[in-house]
Order: sequence, then structure tokens, then C-alpha cells
Amino acid sequence: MNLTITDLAPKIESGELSPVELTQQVLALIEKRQPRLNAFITVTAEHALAQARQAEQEIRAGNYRGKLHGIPYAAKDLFYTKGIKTTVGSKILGDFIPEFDCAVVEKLTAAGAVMIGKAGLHEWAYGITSNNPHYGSIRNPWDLERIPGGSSGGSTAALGGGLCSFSLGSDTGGSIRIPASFCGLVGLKPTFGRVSRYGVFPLGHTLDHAGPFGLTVRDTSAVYRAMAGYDPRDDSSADQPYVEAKLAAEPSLAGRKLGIPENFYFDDLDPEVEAAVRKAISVLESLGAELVPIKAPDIAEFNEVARLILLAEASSVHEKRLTERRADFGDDVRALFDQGRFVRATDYLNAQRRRRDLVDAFNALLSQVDAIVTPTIPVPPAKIGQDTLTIRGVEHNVRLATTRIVRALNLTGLPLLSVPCGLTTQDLPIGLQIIGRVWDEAGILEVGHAYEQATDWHTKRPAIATE
Amino acid sequence: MNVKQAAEAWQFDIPDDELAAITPILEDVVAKTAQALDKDLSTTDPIHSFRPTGR
Repeated sequence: MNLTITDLAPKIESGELSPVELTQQVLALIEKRQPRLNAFITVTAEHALAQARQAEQEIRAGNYRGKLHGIPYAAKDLFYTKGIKTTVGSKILGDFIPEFDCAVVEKLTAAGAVMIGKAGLHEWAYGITSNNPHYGSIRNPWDLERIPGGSSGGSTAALGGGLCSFSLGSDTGGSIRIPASFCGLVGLKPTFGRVSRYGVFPLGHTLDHAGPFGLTVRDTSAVYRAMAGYDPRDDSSADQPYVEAKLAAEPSLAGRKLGIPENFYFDDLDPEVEAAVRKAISVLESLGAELVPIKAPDIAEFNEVARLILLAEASSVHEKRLTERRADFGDDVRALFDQGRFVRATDYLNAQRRRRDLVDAFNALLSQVDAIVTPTIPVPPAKIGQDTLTIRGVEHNVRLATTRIVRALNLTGLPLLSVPCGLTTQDLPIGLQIIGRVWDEAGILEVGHAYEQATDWHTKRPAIATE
Repeated sequence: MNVKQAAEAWQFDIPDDELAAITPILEDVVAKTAQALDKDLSTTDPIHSFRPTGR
């Protein structure tokens, strides 16, 4: 079944496809594939069918709300859902039932979308494997022995596994882009302040972003449109005008300048990742883009700044729980939360000062080019339980290698898009990252869409999604 | 920083084996960030500064 919004929405609008039947089909697929993927913590079957029935009645009555009406989606289990368990992947909040919907779910409900479940995640969204000690390891649809990435791993296991049309994630140090890349999907981290975080359980309050996953850039753009907007309930929310991406049928990047970093971003890449990304860049050039060599600031240094800020912010959220419920944390996240307790307040504040240098550097680069293109992740997804990996004969820590390119960019708040740009010889997805100017989600969606129009990587599906 | 002494002073109550496991990581973080923060940042406002308008 083709679950793209682009394919389903016209059929739903015309009455050719019943939202109830679609939801029933998706729930049947979840029943079949969930035991292998472990994508969901909670499947909200009754809730979904009630939303689908309402959508069907409204559409029959001539009240079609738009492209997301009747479309099934999964929400990472840190988005608050009224009356529905929201665990944040933790044992401690294992029975927590919020009394309100988060802003994003409010908006999607208003758009008529159908929430079919709460997707699993790395415990407290604090990790990149989505190996969860309380709810089990989430599996990559492309290879069930490998990680889907994280922390939004359930969201991409569900979408990549053909169990929904779009999903929601959050990104503090790569948690949208990593699983998007590892599962062969599109993932958008919008500009900081663009999408409300009201009712999204925090990890690092100056680094957290909420954003969508889609099967195509066009689908992702449609979901982003529904999610975006000012919300006075969120301190970080910005009252900025929404700009619609112009997703042309004929791909062209004529007149666009794309920055290609000469340093850092192409160092220490898996050879297959490098080949795929270099080829993708040549496709962008063939579409008319002018490639501009640029020199990025010292990202390795800013990765450490980001690491320190996140350590402190995340631990501040959990200080009391660490004392009172210590045994109920998984070993890996407990170690991280403990580390954050030792960060000095002066170091944290100076890191927030130093952060401005990276913001200034990227804004200066983006005054010369329209967007910057890099690999998303230097390596393909690791196997579940794998701690180290080898790149060109050198051993690396899986977590540090995976976050190396994506982490520091959260310091900038800039909009970031990952699109599929290849498969390794082992059929493991590779992602291309597009970095945009502040508030220019439209620009990076347009670049990603043009790339998609010229290639077919976004049409590739893992075997489990088509069985 | 002496991690063990700090943990005791702040009464973090972290078991010895867990403290031993995070100590080299913390030392690595401290060393690397010390390098990143070794600048005169006195006239730079931290990101996410206080705003008197509240929201």
C-alpha cells in the first residue's frame, strides 16, 4: 500500500478511500509488523478509529479539512496526548497520562489527522540507538538487526516500516536527522521557535526542536505546514510569518548557491557514504545549482560546547528523579544524567556565550550561499548492541561517530533537512543534510524536493514495508 | 575537578562503580570544553538570556 500523503489525500477527499478502512488496514499492518519492529509503545487503535470515523463523517458532509484529513500518523512518545499514556520511553513515567494535548497534536487534530500510536524512543530521548531497557530495542526496517537511530527511532521504524503516512520527532542533538537518515526517510528540524514545544517533554530546553518525518519532501512539507506557528504558551516560540515552499513539478535549482564545506564535514566518512553524498551534490549541480566551496568553523570544538550544554540542561530536568528513582533509569542515560550534575554553572553559561560564535559563523556563511549541503551521518546504521565501528581502518565510538556532524548544528537553531540519497551495498540508507538560513525552511524543502524529483531514492522501501 | 570529592560534597550518592565509570568521561568533557571556553566572553550575552517581558 502506498501510504504517501500525496497519494492518499486526493483519494480521501474524493471519497474513493475511506479513512476508517485506511485506519483499519494500517492497524492490521501494525499487528503484523510491530512484533518485529517494536516501533510503538502504545497503539491507540480505539482513538484512531474514533478520529477516522469523525473524519469520514466530515468529508461525506463536504467538510474536507485539507491534505492531512484522515491521514494516519505516529507521535513520538514524548508528545503529550490527553488521556493517552505518554512515557517518554521511561519506566518512571510508565503510567503517566497527560491531561492535555501538546500544541502539535492539537494542530494535527484540527487538521483532521488520525493518530494511530505513540512511537518508541531512546529513554528520555537521550541517545541515538533507541535501545530501550524498558520497552525493548526498536528495529531498523531496512535491517532488523540494526538500530533505527534515535532518539526518535520508533517514529522512523513506524514510517519506514509502512505503518503510517508521517510521524513526529524531536531533535536536540540530531534526533530527527539521525533516524531519518538511518531509515531512508525525510526528516525536518525546523528553525528554533518555528514549531511549538508546548507539551513536548524536554531534554535540553535551548536545543530541543519538534519536527516531522515524511516519505517524501512534499509530504514532509505538508506536515510541517500544519505544525508551524506561533504559540504564546511556549517561551521559545517565535512570531514569524510562515513561508510556503514552492515545490515545482520540474526540478530546477538555477540561481541557487549551495555551500559545500571543504573541511570537517567530509572528513572520516564511510567510503560508501562519501560516494553517495558526492554523487548527490553532482545531481544538485546538474539541476543548475552553483556550488560554492566554504570553510566551516571548528565544529569539533562546538560539538563539545553542545555536549556540555546538553549535559547540564538534561540533568537539571531530572535531578530530583535521579535522587528518588535512581534504580528506575537505564544504565546509559543514568550515566549521562550523572555527568551533567558535575557541570559548573559558570561553564554552562560560558558555553551559551561561546555558542554565539557558531551562530554568527553560520549566519555569515549563509549570507554568501542559499544553503549548505553535507552528509547527514558519517556512517550507516550500526548493529544493535554495537559500541564501536570502523571508518577507513580507524575505530570510533558509535554514539560519537553518529552525532559528529549533526550535534553542533543544534546550537545554531537553523533549519535542517535530511533526505535519502543512497543505499550502501548492504541496502542501508544514506542521508543528505541541507542546512538553511534562519526561518528558511521553504528554501531547504525546495532544494530537497528538486533533488527528489531528479532521483528515486525516496521511492525505495524496505522489504518489510511492502510485504 | 576531583569527581569523587565533588560527588561526596554535593551528596550525589552515586555508587563507586558508576562514579568510576563516568570519571574519565567527565575529565574528557572538562578538558575539551576548557579549550573551547578559553576566550574572553565577558561582554557576550549567553544564548537564551532573560527577557523582562517574561514571555
